[in-house]
Amino acid sequence: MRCEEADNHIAEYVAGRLAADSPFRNHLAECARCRTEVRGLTEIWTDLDEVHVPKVSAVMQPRLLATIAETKLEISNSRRTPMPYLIKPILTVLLSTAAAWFLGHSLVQPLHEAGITVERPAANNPDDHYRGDANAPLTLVEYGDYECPPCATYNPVVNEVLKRYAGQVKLEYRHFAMTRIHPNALLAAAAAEAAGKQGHYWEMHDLLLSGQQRWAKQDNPEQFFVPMAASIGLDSNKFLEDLRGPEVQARIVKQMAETNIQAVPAFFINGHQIQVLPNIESFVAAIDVELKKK
Amino acid sequence: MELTDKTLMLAVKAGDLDQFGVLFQRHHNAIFAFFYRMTADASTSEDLTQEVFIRMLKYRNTFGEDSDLRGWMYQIARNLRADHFRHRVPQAALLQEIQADHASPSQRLEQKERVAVLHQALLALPEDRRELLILARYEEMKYEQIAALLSIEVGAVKVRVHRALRELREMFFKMSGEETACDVKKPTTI
Repeated sequence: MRCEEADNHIAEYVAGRLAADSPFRNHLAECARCRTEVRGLTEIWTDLDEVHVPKVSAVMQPRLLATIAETKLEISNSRRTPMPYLIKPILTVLLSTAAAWFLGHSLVQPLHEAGITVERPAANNPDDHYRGDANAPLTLVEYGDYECPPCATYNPVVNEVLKRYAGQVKLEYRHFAMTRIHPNALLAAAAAEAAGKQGHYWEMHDLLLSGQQRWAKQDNPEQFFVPMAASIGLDSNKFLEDLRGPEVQARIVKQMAETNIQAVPAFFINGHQIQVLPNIESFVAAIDVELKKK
Repeated sequence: MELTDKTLMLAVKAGDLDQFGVLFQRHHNAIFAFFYRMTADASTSEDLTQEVFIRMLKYRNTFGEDSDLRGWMYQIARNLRADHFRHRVPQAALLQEIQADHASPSQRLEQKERVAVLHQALLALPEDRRELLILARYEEMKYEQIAALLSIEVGAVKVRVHRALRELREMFFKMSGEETACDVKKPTTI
């Protein structure tokens, strides 16, 4: 074997991958040049083993968890109906509106009666933010996404509902960031949670929704969130630190992982999902039904 | 009995997403190490690692009965890294400049420092050679798997690994200021 040909086997030899009966071994015994080459490269190859790699977190980041949650939702939807993602909820609202127009019926329809179950709709969870009287007999649970335009439309209506039913209804809000279509939704949820750590969750909640068009789809939404935080008197540095920290992200991800809702906003009263339009009458109809049961 | 990677990924593809956590636990360290050895940037490597798994989910339907999970996963990782660094200043060039300023020719390096310089030398290699060495040295991939991943012949992998290793040694000596440990033109005995 010539040295030029032997070169083809040196890497295998150094890596310990060369076959035991390879003719290269005979060549190596006879060739000082190749032995020298092998010795030098083996030293480098061995030292490469010591190149330090830091420890990596074994925890999935929120974006990965959100993708898993969304994929579950996607699979669940595709099994339930041949209609594409989001088409069903849109059609449901349109059909409900049309039916109500013709029949003058209430739009409230508990989905559990249609056989659709939703995990963790129960209220009074200490992890949730609530708005209204803590002892109110009725709890309205909302799953929302701060970058979702309908959620922004519903927000003033929900606030109006809480005023009208002061002492009777409280709101609990949970995150469901649909990151595939709303790239800034997770960060916005983190902004609300970060504000919450300074005691101003609901102020930020309202600001995010009322100012949605300014920051939605922007490349760097933080540059919009920080002035918002400052405008309600938050410590900007702490706000940013919390916004980027693992604690608020874990909280958001936990909420998202615990539900299998199909669209946002999603509302529940006493554990039952309701379909309501963004107007006060629609909510009143749903709430009055439940209050009569009390 | 432990399920194979392929079985788990096919289960994920079929809708059993709980199996995805097992794949993450099995492979996230290796993928992170691949990115870290390529970049020496822990934060970016961690983000890219998570992105690999996001893309595995997104493209799960492209994983077939005949697919090799490691090959498929590393293909995703390679594409991702190429996308990520496409518009950035080549790190190797920067590192070479930094090292040129700080090399201390007369000083014999202690082992720890020596390994640190070796990593810098690895980072200073052209990207294709660096990637090939990392795949061959650390990722426990067979030459056949590397050949399939890089779309080249197995023989070419063997030759290129040898050349890349020689280049690494030369770069290391250049950066560390050490004398060449062995000069192939002046044979010595082992």
